[in-house]
Amino acid sequence: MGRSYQNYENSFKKYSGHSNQFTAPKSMIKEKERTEQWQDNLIDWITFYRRNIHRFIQHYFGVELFWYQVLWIYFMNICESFVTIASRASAKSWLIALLALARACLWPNSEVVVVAATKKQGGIIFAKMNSLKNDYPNIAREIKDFKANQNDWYCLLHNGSTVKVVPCTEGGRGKIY
Amino acid sequence: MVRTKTNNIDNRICSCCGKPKNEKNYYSSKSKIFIFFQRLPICKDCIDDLFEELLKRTSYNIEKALYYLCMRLDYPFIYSVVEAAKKQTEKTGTLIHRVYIQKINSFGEVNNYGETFIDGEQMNILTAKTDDDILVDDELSQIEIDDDLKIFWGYGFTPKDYVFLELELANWKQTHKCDNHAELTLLKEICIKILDIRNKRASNESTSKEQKELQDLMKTASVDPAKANIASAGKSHDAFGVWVKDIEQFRPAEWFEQQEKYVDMDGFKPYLKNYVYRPIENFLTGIRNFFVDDDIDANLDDVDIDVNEGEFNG
Repeated sequence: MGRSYQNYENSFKKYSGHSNQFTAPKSMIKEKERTEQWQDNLIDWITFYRRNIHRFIQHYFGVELFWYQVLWIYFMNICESFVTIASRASAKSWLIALLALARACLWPNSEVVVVAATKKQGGIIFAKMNSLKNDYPNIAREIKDFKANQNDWYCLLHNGSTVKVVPCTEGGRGKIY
Repeated sequence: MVRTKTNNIDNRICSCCGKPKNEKNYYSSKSKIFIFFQRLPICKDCIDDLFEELLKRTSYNIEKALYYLCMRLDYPFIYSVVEAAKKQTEKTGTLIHRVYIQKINSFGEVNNYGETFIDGEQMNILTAKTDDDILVDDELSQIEIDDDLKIFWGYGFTPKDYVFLELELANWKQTHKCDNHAELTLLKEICIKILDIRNKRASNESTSKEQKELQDLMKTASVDPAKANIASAGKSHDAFGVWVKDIEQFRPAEWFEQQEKYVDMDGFKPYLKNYVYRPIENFLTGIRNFFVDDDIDANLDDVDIDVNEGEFNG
């Protein structure tokens, strides 16, 4: 009886030393453990970054932006609707991918939805997102799960936010938040 | 050679420049190697040049240059005389090495400075401070330390120590967690211990005990290299998004009551008004508004430029 359970490992033991830092066991941080000063400082920064998202991308993600990109990112963040006319190869998808990740990172448990004519077309954003993830370590550390195959495009962040693709068809109704 | 070339002792030839000069142009010396004439074989002018050269080679460190000069001329090197010479130079403007040699020759016997370089004090050339170091030390010692800092670190430190402690703690915080009071206290203790070690090392005292204590402290704080690889030990295991989530579990993670705080830090809204709203308004309504608000560069225009009237040389 005892023998059959000899090799049993609970999740703490099983995942100790696991390469995924968020799967690996660690002590939980409770509210009181973070000092009030630390929280206030962080809230200050979050306020600053939420209201100046281009700075968040530059500082935390470490992505260098051109001036027009800074302007676009800023207005895409604060305006309800944003229209731009841009030529080909002016990094439109790349910028949208960046903004989606920044929004998802700064607002926990948010759902960012990329709407395109077809689901596959929306998947282009995820290709850019994948390259961003590979190029910038601070973006990679935020991402928990990333799927970008022919049928499914999905990105889950450690803070519970998701980025997903919805086609702009009758079937896409109800999935837009 | 000097003796054979000239028989007149009052008009000796300098071994450096080769010119015959009066006895008064040579410093007296008590060194055994110059015992015959009881004067140096190099004239005062050549010693001036020599000292200038030494100053350049020691990056204008006066103490070092004097030390090397004493070494070459076989004079004892005495710190207290150097300090006295410095003070006198400031007052009279005489060259410092001249004052130094005069003092050594005049008061050497009374004050037991010795007769040769070996009799004098020895300088550790490697640890000798440059004038720049001394200048930085002076600047640091003049910094005013506020009470908060004194309460945080404790009393009894010098201003230089406070600056070091602050820098050290900032460095620790960059690479290690310092989220709660326990971690902060331990990092603080580590910084103070590092300061102790530095001070003791500077005064050539043994630091082995302090090093052991530092290692123990680092182990307690889980910041020693052996524990750096353990999960959740360092800062690299945190993510900004998770911090935001942690805070939002208990309180809003934004100063929502201060809606204007940090808004538009780069001043994009005037740009929007000038170059987006105005052209669109013109286009849609047909009005001809070509007024661009120049206040967009207000920050640059506010810079005051002082013009000195009447001193224009162009």
